[in-house]
Amino acid sequence: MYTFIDERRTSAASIESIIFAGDYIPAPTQNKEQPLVGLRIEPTANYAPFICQGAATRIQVPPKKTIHPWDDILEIDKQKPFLAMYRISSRIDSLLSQAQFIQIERDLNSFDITEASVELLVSILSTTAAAKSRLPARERFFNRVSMRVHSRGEFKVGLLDGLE
Amino acid sequence: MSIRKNIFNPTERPFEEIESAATVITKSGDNFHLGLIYRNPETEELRFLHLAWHLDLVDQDLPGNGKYLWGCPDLPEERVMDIAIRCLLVIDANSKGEVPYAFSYPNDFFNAETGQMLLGSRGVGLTCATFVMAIFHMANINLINYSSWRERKSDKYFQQYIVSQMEKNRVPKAHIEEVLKEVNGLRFRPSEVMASTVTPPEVSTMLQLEPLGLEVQSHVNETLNPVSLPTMCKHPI
Repeated sequence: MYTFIDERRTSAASIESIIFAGDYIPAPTQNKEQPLVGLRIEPTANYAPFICQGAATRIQVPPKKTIHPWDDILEIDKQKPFLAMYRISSRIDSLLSQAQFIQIERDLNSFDITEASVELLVSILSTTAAAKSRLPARERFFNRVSMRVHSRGEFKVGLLDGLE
Repeated sequence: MSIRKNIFNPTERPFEEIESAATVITKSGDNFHLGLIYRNPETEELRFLHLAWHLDLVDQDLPGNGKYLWGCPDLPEERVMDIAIRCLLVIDANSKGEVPYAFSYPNDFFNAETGQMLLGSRGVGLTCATFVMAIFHMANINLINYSSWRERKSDKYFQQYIVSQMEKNRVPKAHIEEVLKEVNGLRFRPSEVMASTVTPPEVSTMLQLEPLGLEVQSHVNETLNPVSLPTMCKHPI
């Protein structure tokens, strides 16, 4: 899945900045009859800006990865899931004690559960269970977790009991 | 069902085998005492957490070998890890250790979100055993089927004994008056709670846990020498 940029609406400078940001992938096909113009390609550069003369040019770039407030915990989770459990519990507890339910809802909805360990997911469910009446998004989150652990063969008897 | 195979002597199976959390039981005088061993995820150190007496929640180094028996909760490890996390939340929120002693129900005794005590309408205080139950409650695990529990005369005597010890130890009268309101003979004994933690969650009724609790007591009596609690608690329970 890529974002397409139309050069008629996007300045070369901003395209260049996108390229230099490192998230540029060359378009898969080009019209060879139309010469490439625009940004100069340096021989050593590992990117190739494709701006076609007189035509709407499409530059393919991958979408910017959305930054999630729990990304730092996901990083810890890769090496130390137990520590990640403690960190996520502390963070959610802090939000709960400030009644930041909308923020937690947003975090639950946007959290990529495919990257998280089962331990971390259990911890999120456990920490939010007491506030489930104030977190409508939690039910969907629970269902996503349940589907994931079943589909990946990670389910164990008792794993999600009491966390609905 | 024999419960002995689920309860270990640290001289044979050291505490270091505990991955994230376990329950521990000992005997002091005529009474049994229950607590938790949990692993701190920051330091990876094992710690011993227990309610020793009125306003005396203790988070300390591991007890020496031969003093306590331990058992792992019969739950998926992910849930046991969550119990360890709840221990830390309670310690963080009650750093002075001032958890009162009484006979309240353990469900919702601590705020599951913050680890702080919900005193007043929720309860007056906990015993060593109901403290362990309260931690499990925070982790959304109910150890006991409350509706199956019945009063026992011996438990009422025990509760009255505790009140007398509170009076001797100059616990404030206002607290003792609140505790007296809870003297009703309904008690979850340390041995029964220990049994409930090391058996599957469906083992939760009084009918199931009372005989298992007696087996735990026998196991402790045969295995351990009585210990003195290393705290201000002069009358351990």
